[in-house]
Amino acid sequence: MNTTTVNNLLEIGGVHVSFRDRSRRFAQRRVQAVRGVDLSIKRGGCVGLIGESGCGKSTLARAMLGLVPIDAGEIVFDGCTLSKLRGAELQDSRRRMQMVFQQASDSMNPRMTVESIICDPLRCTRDVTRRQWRERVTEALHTVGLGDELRLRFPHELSGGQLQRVALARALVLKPEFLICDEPVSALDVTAQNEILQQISSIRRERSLTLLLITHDLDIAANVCDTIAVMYLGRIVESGSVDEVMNNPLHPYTFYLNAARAHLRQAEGRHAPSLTGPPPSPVDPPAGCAFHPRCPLATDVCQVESPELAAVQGVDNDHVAACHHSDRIGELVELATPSARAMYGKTRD
Amino acid sequence: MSVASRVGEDIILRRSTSIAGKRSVLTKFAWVVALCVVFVAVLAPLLAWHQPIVCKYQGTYDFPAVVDTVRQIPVLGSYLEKSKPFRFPTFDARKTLDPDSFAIWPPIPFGPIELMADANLSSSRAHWLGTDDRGRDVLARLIHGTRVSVRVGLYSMLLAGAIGIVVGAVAGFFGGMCDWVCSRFIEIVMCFPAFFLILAVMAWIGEGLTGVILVIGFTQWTSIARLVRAEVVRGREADFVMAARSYGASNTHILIRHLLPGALGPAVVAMTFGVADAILLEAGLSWVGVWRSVADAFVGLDAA
Repeated sequence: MNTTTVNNLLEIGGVHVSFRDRSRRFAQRRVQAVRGVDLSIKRGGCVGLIGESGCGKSTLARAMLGLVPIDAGEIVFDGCTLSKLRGAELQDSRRRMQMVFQQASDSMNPRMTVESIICDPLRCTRDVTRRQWRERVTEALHTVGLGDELRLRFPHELSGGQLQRVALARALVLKPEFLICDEPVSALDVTAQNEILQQISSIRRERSLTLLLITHDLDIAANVCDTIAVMYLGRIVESGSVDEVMNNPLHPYTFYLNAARAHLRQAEGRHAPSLTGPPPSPVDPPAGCAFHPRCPLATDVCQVESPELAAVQGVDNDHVAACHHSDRIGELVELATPSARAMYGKTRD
Repeated sequence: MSVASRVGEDIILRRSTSIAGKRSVLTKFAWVVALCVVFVAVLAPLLAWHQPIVCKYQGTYDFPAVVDTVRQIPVLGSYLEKSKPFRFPTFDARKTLDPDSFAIWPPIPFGPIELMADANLSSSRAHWLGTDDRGRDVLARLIHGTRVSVRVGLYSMLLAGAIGIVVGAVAGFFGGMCDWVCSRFIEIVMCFPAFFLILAVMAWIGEGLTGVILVIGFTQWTSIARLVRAEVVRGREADFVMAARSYGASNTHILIRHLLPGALGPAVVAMTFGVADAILLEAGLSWVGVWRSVADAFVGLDAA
């Protein structure tokens, strides 16, 4: 075991996940949800996984927990390859990594009370005795800032924010080392979002949790995480520290995400650069770089050759992007709004 | 640990699977009716019996009807000895021998197999529903017939429910080939007409209540299995099942704690209908005369 695997709690390499395309029964085509993802997460680190709907963020998270079978690649959690684990060992490793699901209300059994929802993970393990259940449930409830009065409520009796907290409490009750939050706040209003995110951050600090935050919102990732990975159509197209990725994007897609965010902030509608066209279908991904049909920088090489994640000269080594034209991102600024230009004008000529 | 927290712990253990909500008036009424039937079935000898509930004769007390009620309890009951027969018509005659004797009779002081002098009586104060063609009190037979019906209905449906829930849950949860095999098996069993199967089994192992219960139980579980299967299939793909898997829940845990509580509702409804069907089937059988009730058998002995 080398030093990288010790430093990195989770390391995944070349992971592919695909599903049968049920819309065409007799065609042997598959939806390629995740197409070769490499990602490593440092112990105690916090990674934000960003991308538009349908780009495979949630599928990747589920693959990490072993909830969907992977076609290729390997997922190494704390030195153990998950695909080699079976039965009880797999269940044990799952207990060390917990997930908060996207739809908090759907992820809870509607006939269970809050108390038994949070208690359910404890029933599945032998590490915690029956006598400790109540104590652990109380502890988890208090950690997420919920009071005892909710214990006997059913999920449909709770507000969105409360549900999300219960989901978080359930994920924390087993004291995991690694927590995946899948769009933890996307269904909430802004004040509730802030509260929950602060809660997640403080819990993370207190328990030195390793966190993977899946979101489509760059702001959220920027506030909570220290590393960002941008996903596009089942691939990671850029990853690096928050500052680097936000201020100095190396992939056109990241640039547009940033620009759209700036545009929303400053409400300069007309000249905002935006992506044209829908994202390509994961059943039939474009050859070469998946982004090339929507990319203004695309050249012939983009249509043929799929770019690898690589560091760009003159930039921090941890900041990598999968683009043939990382050095030409500056050209996009010319097409951009004044606000976006103000943000990026200094970084490139 | 305080009392309050004990209560809370209890709730943690039990409440999560409870189906109980607020019960409606109709539900309460249904419970009352069902409990009345069970009450009549269990306490039949106290309601209609040819022996007194309490009697004193020649200085000793006897409780024949109570003893007969207790003797129904499967294992315990058999330790009790049957009390001396105190028959209604003869008791008055004995009274002349022992003037101190007295007896408290059940409301209907006739047994279901007791032959009265008069057959085909219309209803009177003595025989509330009259007597049948062999001179037996109809109300007494009705009350004691409840016991047979309730027994057949409940036991056969408990058996059918157990089989149906297990087969349905396994078929629905594991899916694929397992589902296919279970579903085809269900369809095959559905093809057996219970009525004629019972005739065959009666001819084979002889008459008896157990045979009827077993055959009904082993043939009538199919609708329950199909309902449970449908519910489990519906719940299997739910997010909360995936969530449960993510925190390391086993298949058994997911089935028992997450899927079956939801499937049990429809299954219990199907079972209640099944109880009614089983009772009707049993009634049909005894009418045809394939399986004769205990009462009839005794009448046969009497006649011989």
